Parts: sequence; structure tokens; C-alpha cells
Amino acid sequence: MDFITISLISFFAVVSAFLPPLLDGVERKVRAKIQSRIGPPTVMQTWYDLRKLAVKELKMPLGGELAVLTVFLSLITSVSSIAYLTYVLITSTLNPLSIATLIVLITASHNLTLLSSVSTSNPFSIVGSYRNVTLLLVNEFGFMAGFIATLYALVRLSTNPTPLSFLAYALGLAALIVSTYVGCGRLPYDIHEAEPELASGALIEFSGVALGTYLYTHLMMRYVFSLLVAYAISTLIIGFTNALVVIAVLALLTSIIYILYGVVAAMLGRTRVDLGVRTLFTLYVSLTLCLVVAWLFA
Amino acid sequence: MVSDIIETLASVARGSRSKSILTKVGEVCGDKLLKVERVSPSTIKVLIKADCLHEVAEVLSAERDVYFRTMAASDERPAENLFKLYYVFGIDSEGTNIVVEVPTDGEREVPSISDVVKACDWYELEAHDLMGVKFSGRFLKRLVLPDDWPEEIHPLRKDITTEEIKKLYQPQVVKRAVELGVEEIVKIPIGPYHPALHEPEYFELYVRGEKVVDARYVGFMVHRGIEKLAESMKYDQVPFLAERICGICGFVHSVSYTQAVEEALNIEVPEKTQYIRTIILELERIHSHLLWIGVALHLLGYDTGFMHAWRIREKVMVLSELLTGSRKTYGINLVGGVRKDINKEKIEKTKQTLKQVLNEYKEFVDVATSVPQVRRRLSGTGVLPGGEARAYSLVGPTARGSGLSRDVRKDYTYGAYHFVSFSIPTYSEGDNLARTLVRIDEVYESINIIEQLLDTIPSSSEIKVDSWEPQPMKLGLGNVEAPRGEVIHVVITGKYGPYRWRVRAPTYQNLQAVPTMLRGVDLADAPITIASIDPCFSCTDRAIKINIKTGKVEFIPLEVLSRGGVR
Amino acid sequence: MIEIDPVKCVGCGACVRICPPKALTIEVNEKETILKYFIGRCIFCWMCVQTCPQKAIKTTNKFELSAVDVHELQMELVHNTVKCRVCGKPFITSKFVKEVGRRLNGGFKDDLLYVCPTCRRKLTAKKIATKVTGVE
Repeated sequence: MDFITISLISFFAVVSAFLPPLLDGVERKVRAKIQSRIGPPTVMQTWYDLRKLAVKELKMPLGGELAVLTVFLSLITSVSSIAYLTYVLITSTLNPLSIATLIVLITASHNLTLLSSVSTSNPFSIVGSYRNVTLLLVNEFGFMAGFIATLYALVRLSTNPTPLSFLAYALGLAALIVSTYVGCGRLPYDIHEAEPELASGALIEFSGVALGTYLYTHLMMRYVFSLLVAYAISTLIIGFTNALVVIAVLALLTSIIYILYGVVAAMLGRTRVDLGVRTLFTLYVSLTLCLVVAWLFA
Repeated sequence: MVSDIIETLASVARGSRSKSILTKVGEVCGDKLLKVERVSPSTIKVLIKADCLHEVAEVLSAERDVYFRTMAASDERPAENLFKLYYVFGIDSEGTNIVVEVPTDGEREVPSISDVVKACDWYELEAHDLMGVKFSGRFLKRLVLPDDWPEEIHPLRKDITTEEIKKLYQPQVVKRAVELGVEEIVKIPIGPYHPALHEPEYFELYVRGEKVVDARYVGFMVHRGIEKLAESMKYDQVPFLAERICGICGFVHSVSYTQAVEEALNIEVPEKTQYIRTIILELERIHSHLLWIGVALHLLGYDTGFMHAWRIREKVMVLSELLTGSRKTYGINLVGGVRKDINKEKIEKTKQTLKQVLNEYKEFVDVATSVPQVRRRLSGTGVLPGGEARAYSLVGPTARGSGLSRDVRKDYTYGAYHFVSFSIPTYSEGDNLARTLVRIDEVYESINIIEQLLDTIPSSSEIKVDSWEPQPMKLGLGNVEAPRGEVIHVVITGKYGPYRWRVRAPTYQNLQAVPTMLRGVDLADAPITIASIDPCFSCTDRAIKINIKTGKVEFIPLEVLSRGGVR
Repeated sequence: MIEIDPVKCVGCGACVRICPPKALTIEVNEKETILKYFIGRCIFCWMCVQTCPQKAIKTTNKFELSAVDVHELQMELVHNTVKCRVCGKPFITSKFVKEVGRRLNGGFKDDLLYVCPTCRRKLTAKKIATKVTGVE
């Protein structure tokens, strides 16, 4: 690996660390526009919020030392998943090992945030967290299937572009988009924070730095998910060319997808946990079946 | 003798329905029926002995178009050395009220009728708590008063004053907290709270998995003693107090109160006053329904709809300010009239605003009801069959969502409603969607009603009766179709102010049916189901002075709870 | 909030009797009659404004009335109290007596004006009795 590649990777990683809260600020502005409100004063608001939280006192939840630890662990995994993803994208080292590592990193940081609210002693948080676990069990399946299928179809498309492999790509991309959307924890799938009086999640457990870190990690995960979709789309359009162009296009596309997800969320209501799981399960199983059929014929 | 009374019955009856019902009542009572009189064009008072109350209740509840409206217990010992119970039944098809008056000496038991009239359950408990009336044939428990209230003190009796009550009862929260040693650790109050509208109440949901098996309601946490307070106020001060019963639909209470006093004292109100009251009532319905639609959508996670509903509502609030001077708690009502006139300029402005509201509302409702999650979660949840709705004597949109077309505006008409034509939206499904659609349609009707009224409003500037003479011990009923259902006030007049004032808010009636709706729904749907009756707990809990229960429940350290509950 | 014009106000207490939330109260002692206005209770219904026979109460647009100290929300208007010339009990304000005198256009003489209602009743009864029977 030469010096330029390394500096490019670190540059993109730094941008990726800075972008998510900014995108969240933009999303808040856009959502306010849709709801005929004014919204936050500037798009930097999320950053200001995080800065404020960082200097606030930390109040440990009862029996929640483990919970706070998992928050910081999930921050580490999500940062490393961004860094590793950047490395994979720029050097285009797509092989089973790197894909597996990516999936492990992403799901690990996802599940660590979940663990954080399960490990508190608040019964309401535990109700909320278990709802999220139920949902994610289905969603991880869809995510893996979609992610692997899309990447595999991309490789096939670059060597042997047939209509059938294009169909496989489309199906895989659909699964990937739905699962990343759900993974972002946006409406209608923000069930763990739904009905705050019946069930609540990490948001009421943490304070100060821990809450800031939790929110930041959450935004990073949203960014990673958008980045994956952006990668799957951009690769098809521009192929693997100049690393700088790839980065620029990726950053732009990721931002667009991030905001688009936010806009979609503003137009929907919240689903119920059993309805949500049932819908997702039906969707993923049928998509996977179609994929298998397409594969058999390809 | 008996035949005499039955003859009188027939002569005071208003129409054929009340005639046949009254005859039946006369037959079951025999010589226990003491007196029948017509106290106002729409109200017939029947005085019976307590022994035959149960038989009368059976007769009345067997009729399909009769329902139980309210019951007021009154301490009339200063005048007649008796307690009196006034059971108000309404004949929907004729718009007639039958007031069954039952005297009791406070010692002998009155037969309970809550086995035949389901809705009467709370009324009897409340009369037992506050008046000390004893009922036989039922389980009596504390409903309104706190558990540690002294046994023999009944706060609504005339021989105890507000000052004495204040001295008598001090909330024991602080003492309990010290006993528990909770001062060193962090205190977090758990309940009473409301899953939907954030008001003080408490539901116990018994859940298996995510399914609600049963539900229990514990209420009356914010008793403010409004009825007792009003007994020490003058006639024209009470409307302002009445308006503060509810923060959302206060005007209905002040109109209801003034109508009750006007009926009791035979005060002729100018036509323009009726128009103004009706316009403001409908305006209040629009803003209240928009508020509810917003909250309901928020509960379903559709926050965009919530924001837009409240944006449209804002226009209505500004309009209220134009017409009355206030956004809420308008304070324009007095006995015999209103305080603010509506002139030509205001009429034009109102029409313009309503047109805008109508357009924006149409657009908003089309979008909001087509959001897939909203539809899926509303339809089929919280089902209340029509039979249950009838058995519980439900009122308002809750009843109309279950196929009962019960609307006080049509059935027991008041104000200027007989000058306009409007329809009553009714859906028979009985689920949350039906109740939502009833409210959505009602907003269109309300806009229509206001427009009709503005076209025909009299141009005179006479909006108030100059003077009127109070007469003591007259009975009056006032009812208003509030956004949540029917509000009914019973007033017994006194010398300077009401002698007894009984308020019955719609939630009092509707809340008793919520456990039925909750059985079998998913836990996640419980908040919207509870919210679907548009509950107003402060209206329901209006009866007495104390606002804190025992304190045992309120301050449980989180540590104790989490250990006991989870680990 | 409302503003009470100390020049026009005579301390008759009409506003106190009509005030629904009892924000206006009146206290009568030996020397002074104090009209108290507590903004914390006021519901801004303007009933007092409509009722005031002297038109002494004015409405204002002031509504941001929060204060650190609760006493800042209390306003007082002090009148002199007149004592009954017969029994010596304090009964109304001196301005009120003058206003009544002015409105009656001299219909009442001072010896009746400065007498409390109970004593006035007694006096009148005595007068009638004197007229009828002719005995002092």
C-alpha cells in the first residue's frame, strides 16, 4: 500500500467521522420543512448538541456500568467499520474474508448498542430493547442476504453482464436498501423508542458523555448503512476507476441516500412490532427465493 | 289514587314515547309513586319511594331508546331533612328527560341499580363517598376519596365547610417518605400518568406476551373539589370556574351550567346569544378534534401529520381570539347571556378563515388517512360492539363509532342548532378507525354549521338578559354535545348561587368501557385505544378537594422497583 | 393585568364581589380599607372592568408577569376608612361616602351618610316611629 492510498483512506475516514452529525442536521432541517416548521437554527445543530453533551455530567444508570461500557465499545467498532469499509472500497479488496469482516464489524456495533439497553435495570428499557432484538433478528438475515447477493452480483456483472445477473443485482439491492433502512432505526421501524410510556430504550438511560457517544454511534451506523447502499449503486455506474473520484462520488451519494431515508421516514407512521416483523420476514423470504431462482438460471 | 297518578302521568307526558314509558313506570310502582310533575318543557320529574327504584330502573333500561345520563345526589337536610338522589334518564327519540327523584334519610339503604344500568356504577360509588348515601345489593368501595380519608366524613354534605375539610386532611406523602427512608436516594415518581395525553391517571394492563388480557383503571387523582367550591360562589362567578373544568373543551361546561340555571329559573335568552354560543361551541369542536387527530397520529408515530393538524388548528385558535378575546377559556358566558357580540366585520373574517381551514383540512385528511401504518393500526383494534356501547350508555364519538347515532345536538336540542341542518356521522365498525373517522367527518359538519349560522345570525345587538330573579330549590338540566360526547349539568338553585351543582363530563361515562376495548389488543395499540375515546381525566376527576392519593404509590425508589420487579 | 386608577376608585368593593377567581380582595380595618389585587390568581376575564361603577379599572396588554418574589405580584390600594357616627364601627371608605353623597345630589344629609347600614336602619325606624307616635 502506497502513501497516497493510506492518506486517502485516512482522509475519507476523517470526513466520515465528521459527516454523520452534519447530515443529521440537514435531515432535521428538511424534515422541519416537510412538517411546516422552522427546525434547528443551523445544520450544525447536531454537532452543537453533541458538544454540549460531551461536557455534561455523567449520571450512571443503576446497574448500568456494563451498559456504558458497551456504548463505548460500539463506538470503537463503528469507527473501525468505517475505516475498514473505506479501505475495502478504495483498494477494492472484495473477497469473502473482507466481506465477512465487514458484516461482523457492522452487526457487532449494532448489537452492542442493543446490549447497552438490555443490560440496564429499567424494566421499560428492557421491554423496548427486546422489541428491537425481535426486529433485528429478522433484519440481520435480510441484511446479510442482501449485502452478499449485491456484492456477488456486482462481481458477476463486471465479468459477465447478462439480464439475469442484472435481475439478481436488482433483487439484492432491494433487500439491501430495505434492510439498511430498517437498520437505521427510522420510522416505521423505530419500535424500541416507540410509545415512550410503555417501552423506552437507551435514550432515557444515558446522560452526558455516554448519551453523546450513543447518539454519535447511532448516527455513524446510519452513515455506514447509507454508504453501503451508495457503494452498491455507484459501483454499477462508474466501475472501479480513480480512487479520488470514487471517494467524491461515494460521499455525495451517501449524503443523498441519507437525506432520502430521512424524507421517507417523515412520511410514514410507526408500525407495530408484530406487524413489522411479519412484513419484513415475508419480504426477505420472497426476495431470497427470487434470488435463488435467478441464481439457478444464471 | 293510583289511577289518578297514572292519569297525571299521561297528561304531563310530552309525546307518545314518554307517555307509554311513564305508564309502565306507574304500573310497576303502584302507590309507591308519589308525585309526577313537568319541571320544564323537556324534563319530567317523577318522585318515587326508594323501594321501587330497582323496578323503575329495570323498566327504563329495557327500552331501546332510553339511556342513563347522570345521577346527582343532593343534601337537602336544611330544607326537608332528607337526602335526594336524582337519576336522569333520557328518551333519545323524543328528547325528553325523565328525572327519577328518590328521597332517603341517609340511614336506610337505597337499592343499587348498577346491575341493570351498568353506567351507574361510578355514580353510586361517588354518592357513597361524597354524600354518605348507602346502597344495598352491591359491593361498595372508595372511588373518589383517598384510602386514608376519615370514615364518617362526607365532604359534599352541607354540614361541613371547605375550610374544615382543608384542616381535616393533610396529605401524608412526606411522612411516608421519611418512614421509608427514601430521602437519601433519588426519588422517581412512577405514575399516575397517561399513555396518550399525559394527564394524571393510571391504567393497569395485565399482559400476556404483547397481548392485553385485562385492564383496570384507577382514577380520580386530581380531585379539585369544584362542585363544593361552586356552592360557595355566586351565579355569575361559576361560569368562569366551570370553564376551567377542562382545558380543551371548557366552553361546553360553562354553556351547560348557564343552560341548567336558565332552565331552572325560566330565563328567556335572546336569540343572538344562542347563535353566539353555538358558533363558539362548534369552533371549540373543530379545534378539539384537530388537536385529537394530531395526538392520535403522533401516537401512531406519524409526526408529520401531528404537526400539520396543529398548524391548521392554530388558525382556529386565532379565530377564537378574534371572536371572544381569548384563545382558550373564552370567559364570555354569563347566566342569561354572553359578553361579546359578533359584528359584521367579524362575520366576514370568520368566513374567510373557515374557508382556508376547510381547504387545508381536506388536503391534510386525504394524506393522513392514506398513510399505510395509520390505516393498518387503526382498523380492527380496540373494538367496541354496539351492544356494549348501549349497555354502558356511552356518549359522543365513542358511541357514534359503534353505530349508535346518539347526538345531544339533535336529540335534546339546545342553542341555535334547530336553525341549521346538519348530519351526524355514524360508523358501525366500533374500532379505532371508526371513532377517528367520526371525528374527521364531524369537523366538516362543524364548519358547515358555523357557515349556516353566520348567514342567518340576527343583526340585533341584544345579547344579554338585563336582570333576573333567582328562586331557591329549582331543578335544572343543561346538556351540551362536547367534542368528547355529551356534557350534562344538574343544578339545584340556591339564593345567591347554585345550591347543588352536579357536573358529568363525557369521559366519566366513556371511560368505564375502556377495559372492554383493551381486552385482546396488542400492548403497542393500548395507547391509541385509550386515546380513542378522547379521554379527559381532569374533567372526570372534578369532584373533591384532595389531589394526592396515599403517597404509597407515588414515591417508590427506582432501586426498590427494579429489584422487586425484575431481578 | 388590570390597572386600578387610584383617583377614580372609591373602594366600593363591587369588583371584589364579582371577581370569579377571588384575585381582588378587600380588607377593612380601623384606619384603612385596602383593596388588594393578586395577579397570580387573575384570569384576565375583565369582569371587574365591566362591573366598576366608577370606570376606575382599565385593561392593559401586559401579560408577561413572572416575578421572582411572590410579593411583586401583589398590588394594594389604600383608602381611608370612615367610622360610623353612631356605633363607631369602621364601615366604608371616605371617598365612597363622598361619591354616594354626590350621586344622591344632597338627598341624604351628612348625619345619615356617615352612619353604617345597621344603625341607619335603626335611625330611620326611630324617625318613623317619632313621626307616627309623636313621641321622641
